Amino acid sequence: MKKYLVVFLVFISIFSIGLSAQSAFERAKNDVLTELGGPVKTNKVYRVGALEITLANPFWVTMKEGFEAAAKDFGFKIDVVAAPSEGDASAQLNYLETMLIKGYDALCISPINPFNLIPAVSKATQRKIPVIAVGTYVDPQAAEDAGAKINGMLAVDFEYQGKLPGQYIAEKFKDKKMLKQQ
Amino acid sequence: MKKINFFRAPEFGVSVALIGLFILMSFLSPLFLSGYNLINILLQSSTYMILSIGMTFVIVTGGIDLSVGSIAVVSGILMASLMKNGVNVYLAIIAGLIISIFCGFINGFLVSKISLPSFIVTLATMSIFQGAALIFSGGLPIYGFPKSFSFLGIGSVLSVPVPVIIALICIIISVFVFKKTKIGHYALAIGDNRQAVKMCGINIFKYEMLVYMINGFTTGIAAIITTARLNSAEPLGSMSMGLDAVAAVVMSGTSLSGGTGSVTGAIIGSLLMGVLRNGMTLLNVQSYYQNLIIGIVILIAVFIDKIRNDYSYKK
Repeated sequence: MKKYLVVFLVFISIFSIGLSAQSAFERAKNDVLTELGGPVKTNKVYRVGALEITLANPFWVTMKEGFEAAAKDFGFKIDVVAAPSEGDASAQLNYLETMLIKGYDALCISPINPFNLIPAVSKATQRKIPVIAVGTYVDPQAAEDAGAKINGMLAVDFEYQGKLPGQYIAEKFKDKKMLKQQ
Repeated sequence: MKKINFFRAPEFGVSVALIGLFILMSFLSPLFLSGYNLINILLQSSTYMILSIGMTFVIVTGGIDLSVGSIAVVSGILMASLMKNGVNVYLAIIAGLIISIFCGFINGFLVSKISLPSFIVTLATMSIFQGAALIFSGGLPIYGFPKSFSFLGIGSVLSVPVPVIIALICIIISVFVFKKTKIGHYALAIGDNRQAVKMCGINIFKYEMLVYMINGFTTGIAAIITTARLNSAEPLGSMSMGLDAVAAVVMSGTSLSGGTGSVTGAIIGSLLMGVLRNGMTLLNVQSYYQNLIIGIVILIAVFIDKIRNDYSYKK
């Protein structure tokens, strides 16, 4: 009897984790929608190209799924590709250079390092294709020197991410002696 | 008679594959034949062309150099850190070339003088050079170089990218060296029959060393182009370069046991790789599938070459 109860509890907990993850995604989506006031309705189906770092890593695979889910929700088409490995900066540049002629309306890039994609981004700027950096960033000074325009950057601020729990802990331990000593 | 000569040429298999692929891609994607894309293919295969030149010299002697990717990394990191510390661009380039020739010298010395198998020597030096680059750079990529250096990677003259021009110069020189000088002839002869060459009183040590140093030199040039184009030197980057260069050479009918092969074949082989990668990106093929398909194409090219060989033996 106990065994069944444990199995049942495990199922419930896995299911609820799945549910809460789903709701986190929904929450984020609703936040974005209220912030931007909802997407503008058009009849044109936009095509977006996304270039990630690698698809041999669960982080980027999840991001690809996110891209595809967003494309389905908002009604645009997306092609997600990635460099063959995390260190292959020149292969990633080759990918982006080839993607330029495919007539995408916008490009999302996650450069392997802040410099490697700049030559292709400046070609995109010449062709008036908006480019958004997702997850990793492009060096702003070098991009400006090369005439490359990054229209938006979407990345996690790891310093802020570290600061939040630090603050929380400091608040909780305000009166404790141990913290003051150090 | 002329027709049979063409059929017997070692480049036959890879040329057929390249022409076939070219026709196939231009049907599959309307963007493939645009001027921008053709220049793009040349630009993307320029480093592979340069690498495959040096690799051809090594493979026709019956050797192999797996450490090419690591040599490129060492040379790139050295050039980058010199430039970052304010050293003149030309001096940094020369230093990068010298270190890559020196790495080739180490390989050549171990293979030729101490007569260790080249596969094992270069497998070890691959690891050694990679480790050295990681230690020297502390594992961090080095970014941001002077404009005069990045010109070598992203500049263009009369709308032809500079890397393509550098590759063309390398091809012309190397075809001459391979066909018309002692180095090319002896390299082929050493691969064909080492004992006979020795008996003729030719200094095998000297020519084998030269061959590995040529390979180091071409790797150095490829490293300059890659570093300039990316405006950064990655201590972990371009590890797959070496194997891709070997693949390009082997595809062209150059036998790994030495004695046959040509620089032109290797160039066609690297173009084939370039067209494949470019075409598959145009067709939205994911990188996993790209590796799989490239493997299959290598097998097909080698298979065509085997059929050709069997045919010419029967004649």
